[in-house]
Amino acid sequence: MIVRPTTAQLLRDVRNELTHTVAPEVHTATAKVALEQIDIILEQCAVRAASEIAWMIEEIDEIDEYAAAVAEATGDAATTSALEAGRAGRASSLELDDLADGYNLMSEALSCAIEACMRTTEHPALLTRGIEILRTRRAERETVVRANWRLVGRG
Amino acid sequence: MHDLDAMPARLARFLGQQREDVELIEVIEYEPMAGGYSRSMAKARVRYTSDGVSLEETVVLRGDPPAGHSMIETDRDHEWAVLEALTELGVIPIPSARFYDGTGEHLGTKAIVMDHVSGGSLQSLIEQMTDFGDHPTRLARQWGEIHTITPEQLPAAMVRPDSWDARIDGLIDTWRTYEAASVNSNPTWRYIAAWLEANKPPPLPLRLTHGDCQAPNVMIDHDDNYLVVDWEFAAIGDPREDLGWYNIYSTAAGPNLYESDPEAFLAAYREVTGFGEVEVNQLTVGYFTVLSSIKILGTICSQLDKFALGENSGTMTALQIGSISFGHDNFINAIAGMQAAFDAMAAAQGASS
Repeated sequence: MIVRPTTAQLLRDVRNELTHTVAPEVHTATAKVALEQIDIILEQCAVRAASEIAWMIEEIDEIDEYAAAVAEATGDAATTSALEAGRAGRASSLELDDLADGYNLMSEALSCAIEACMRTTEHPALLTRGIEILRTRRAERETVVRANWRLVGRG
Repeated sequence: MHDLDAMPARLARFLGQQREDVELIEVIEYEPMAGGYSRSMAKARVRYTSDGVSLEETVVLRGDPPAGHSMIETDRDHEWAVLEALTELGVIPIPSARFYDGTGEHLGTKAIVMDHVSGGSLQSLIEQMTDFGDHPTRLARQWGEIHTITPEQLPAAMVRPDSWDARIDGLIDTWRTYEAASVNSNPTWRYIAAWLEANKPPPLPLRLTHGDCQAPNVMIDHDDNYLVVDWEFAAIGDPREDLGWYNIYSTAAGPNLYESDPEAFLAAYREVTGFGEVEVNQLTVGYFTVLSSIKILGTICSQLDKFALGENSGTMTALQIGSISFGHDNFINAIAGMQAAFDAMAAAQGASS
């Protein structure tokens, strides 16, 4: 398998071709907007292609550890059950579909763990840690994936 | 609406059925419009001839996108009913809604025919400005005028929540419902729902809400009047839902006229509505910035789910992954800010008692 140029490099090359060769030949307003949207989506795909497998694996491990700590501290049945499901559903391969399924299962454990922490005032540090996972692992990475996103063609 | 070759003749036939006072109707230009995110939009130049005299005008068509290419699902019948009610009330300036093909039999899809506003949108105007002048307070008053309309003045077909609590609890549940139904597990939405439930603001009377308050939905005519368009999300709800949605939308696609001076904006809004500072302030707008977003993000989420399942497609829909993630980032930060403010107020109260 030829792995270089990488998928991200190929996608960015397509972007470049669309911008410099195709776009100047496009003259209708609706087609111009569509092309601009395609450019944004291609860049987002390039970012995801480069990192999403690594990010999901990293998050699954971090959530496993966090949810286990919440389950132990609170005895919350929903968190315990979701964590067990997440562990049982851990992907046996790095195929993207398998990993996405495992990631979703473990994400449910994160939801349950944060909800468990919010139902009590006894574990503020665990709640803070859960919110930090949302912020640093989810929101910040999603910001990277958004790349050059904007609501093109409005108004 | 989507068959550009057939549309001039179809539209002329449809208009002919609506206008028996005119001898000949010709559609001399027909072109799709960019800018309508959720609906297909087109502009048509129409010539009417009677007794040898010809007049021309431009109309706008607003219809459903082709099946499987929808970024958002909304109901044209509902939108038409709201437009009819608003036209009759005459309180809110809107472009005249002329005719409605409620079956799609004539125009190929359910579509509303309305007056064209040639002056452009508030969005396109303020994007060119460095000084917004009186537009922030004008816009606040415009939203406020919408919120003076009570449920009793609205069509019977519009859903009436049993109470303010029922409306707010329903919206909070909507975060959970969409999350549970989605192909993606979303801990951020679950956290948002839990936080909103624990921090409800003081209530306000339920009123008409536009549902998609944003500068691209305000047109400005040649006499400098605002005209509010795109009523597909109109509902009876808490008025602050609109302020919140305006805030988050305009943060994503600025300029944000609220953010430029929140206190002046809210003072103008309170003056028109008569609402008090306890109910309408920066913190309550912050709360509704998060809460109300689900009305549009939820339907976007559904369409993205359909995309993932192979039932929907299109770059417009794919682009909305960014809308959802933009919300995540902003809501997490907004909640952190509001929580810090609540904690500080609680600490101050504790110290003084």
